[in-house]
Amino acid sequence: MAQALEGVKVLDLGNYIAGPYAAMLLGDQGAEVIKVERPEGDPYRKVPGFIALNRGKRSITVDLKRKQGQQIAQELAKRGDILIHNFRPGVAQELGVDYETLSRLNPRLIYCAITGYGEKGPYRDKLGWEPLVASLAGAYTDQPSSDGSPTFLVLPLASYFAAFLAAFSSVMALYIREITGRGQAIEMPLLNALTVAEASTLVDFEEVIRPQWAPQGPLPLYRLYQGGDGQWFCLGVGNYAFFTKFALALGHEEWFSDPLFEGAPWMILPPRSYEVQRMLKQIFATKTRDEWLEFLRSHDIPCAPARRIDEFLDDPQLKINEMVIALEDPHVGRVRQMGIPLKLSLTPGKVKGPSPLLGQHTQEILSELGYPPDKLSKLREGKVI
Amino acid sequence: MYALDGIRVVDLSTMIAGPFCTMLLADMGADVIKVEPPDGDPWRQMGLAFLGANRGKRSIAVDVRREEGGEIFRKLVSTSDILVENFRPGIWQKLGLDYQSLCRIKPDLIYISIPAFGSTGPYVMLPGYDGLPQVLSGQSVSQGGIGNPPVFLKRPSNDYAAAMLSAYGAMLALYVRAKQGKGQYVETSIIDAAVAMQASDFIDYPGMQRQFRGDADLKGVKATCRLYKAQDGRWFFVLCTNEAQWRALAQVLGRDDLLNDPRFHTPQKREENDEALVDILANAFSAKPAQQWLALLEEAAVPCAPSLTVDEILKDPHYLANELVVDHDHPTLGRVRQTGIGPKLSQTPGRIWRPAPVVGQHTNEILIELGYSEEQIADLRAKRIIA
Repeated sequence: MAQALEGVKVLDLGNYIAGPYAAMLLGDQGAEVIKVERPEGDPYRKVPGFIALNRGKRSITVDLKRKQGQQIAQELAKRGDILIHNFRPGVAQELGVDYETLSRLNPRLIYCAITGYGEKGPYRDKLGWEPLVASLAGAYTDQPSSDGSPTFLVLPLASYFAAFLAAFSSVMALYIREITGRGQAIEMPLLNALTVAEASTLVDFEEVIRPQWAPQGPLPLYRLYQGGDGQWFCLGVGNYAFFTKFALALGHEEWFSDPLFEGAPWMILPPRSYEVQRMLKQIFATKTRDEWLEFLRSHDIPCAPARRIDEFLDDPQLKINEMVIALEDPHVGRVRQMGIPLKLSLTPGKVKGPSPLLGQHTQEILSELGYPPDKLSKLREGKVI
Repeated sequence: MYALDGIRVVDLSTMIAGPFCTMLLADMGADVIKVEPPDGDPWRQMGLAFLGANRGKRSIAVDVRREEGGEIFRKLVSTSDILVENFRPGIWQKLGLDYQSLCRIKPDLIYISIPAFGSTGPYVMLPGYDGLPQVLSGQSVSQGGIGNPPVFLKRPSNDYAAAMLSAYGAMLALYVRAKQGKGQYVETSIIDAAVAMQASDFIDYPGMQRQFRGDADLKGVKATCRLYKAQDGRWFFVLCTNEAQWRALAQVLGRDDLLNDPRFHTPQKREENDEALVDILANAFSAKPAQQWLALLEEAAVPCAPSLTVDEILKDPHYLANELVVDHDHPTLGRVRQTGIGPKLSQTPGRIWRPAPVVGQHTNEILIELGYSEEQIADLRAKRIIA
């Protein structure tokens, strides 16, 4: 076994981000992923990000609104191990790919439905798109703008977290299937994924204190600052040992007994925090950002420059971590993209190839299912495939 | 039956990435033993952050840096399946508690490592917290926008991502072990997770046009996909995904005139005149309280959602109905309400076994399981090797 998921067959009925990304994470670890697309394709194909989330898959186009199309999907499910979709509630039934139908055909199937909000409760039937989920999960309120109003977040956090947890749950079900011989249904709502990814804040007991946030961070020792050249960096004094190093490095031993710094690094609360922030702003204005980074690093104090994502792509550490790979895409050429964020020593991951063209493998996959050429051309004429 | 029945995890980790990973495993039935120094995981100071990522675990307080403590630890490892740690590389080698050394005690051990930056390379010895990968990876600049101050994101997403990815890695390794009886070393880092958190944007090809639409006061993507403020000061999100919804929105606002307005009558026109449309909609929405707007929009089938606060979520009927927030009793704090279990598995559901432990709450119990006598335990306690 060269790869963890060698021989595991995954059906990716997903669209946009969460479903396809989960299936890709499985594909990178050796699973054989078939992307089942509607005739007009995954709508995410219009976005460059499509290339990054569908690599290594084979694509078959099938019209699941037609009986014959549903039959093809069911035949694939019969031979499959894991199915992932992110349809709205009820759509899988309409398309003949619901768990009840498919588990009758294949009791070993692991069926992972990525929904918006879960099976119960008042939000159940809401449109499960990222911004609505994020709004309800408090993600926008939790990141206040300068006037305290909620901020729209550019990263689709719920979709990404759901993809990770769907991959986690699917392989957990695969592991338990080794013991019980049976598959099961998994529901992974986006709302749940985003909510548990704030487990450390979503806690409530009698004495809970919720500090106020600010756009560049509220904690004077753990926030963004500018060097004298106007460039930004993050100071990350995250424990008392680092605070000690920081004060000594700057020659401010008196801070250890200064009531202003009481509770350092985390519990310097307003109004003291404003005063400390003001002091540090003045100090950091005396040298350029890069001078400060060099100085802080030489004293083992956590810090990092604020960079753009295109600068991040060239990061030397990412090269060593093999987190940037290049694949040839038939439309746009050489595409640099994410490597595999998980290194397994015995069964390492491997990127199989670029994202497929729409329906690139329809014929190949149907031939594997035993469809003879004349039947294939009929299905094609009838626009089922 | 629970998915991870009979699986024991030794958890040496601190902060969020490691502890949240092992909490995901605990929720699914694993026996997670949190190994803390005698004075406790330093992250305990964080109060609620600690509680949120450590429930369902047992705690043993032991000084693994001292010889007898190291011995307890090795015994524990010999009875375990998975080990999770998130320190800078090299720390465990010095103590003989690295993967190679522990493999000799437990050949099929699954060793999960979550360093901040990786195990070799220019940054690996740098101390790391979520804030650093966040700014290094471009997330702060993307949110703040080019030419504006970067925005420090409150949620440590990269820590959570690393936790989820390592939990996925643990399952892959467990599945492989079930098939072929071998353990392995699994690594992800916070910086790698920061890449995975931007997978769609983390691409680059010749001639690619990269858009930076961030702003510290960003409210949405466009007028019909945006947060709005109601009369009562509460914010909510409105999202039109097609023309029918746009028409319904105009009707709800009593602004049918917008449908024939040459500035707005096609999606392309609306995009060209986005600012003007934002002004009109923001002005219209300021006329009624949020609850009224949400009810009207729902009725007209315009997708919308309130922008909830943490305190509202903790009382929200939907969260309660789905057990997405749950209550349990904590030995010192009383009733604690926190997040439930994310993934719902039909045959092997998760369960919250116990609240986050107090330091060393299960030291005796675990040592007795390992075969230590009451006398030995008292002796170790007197020497302050355990607490």
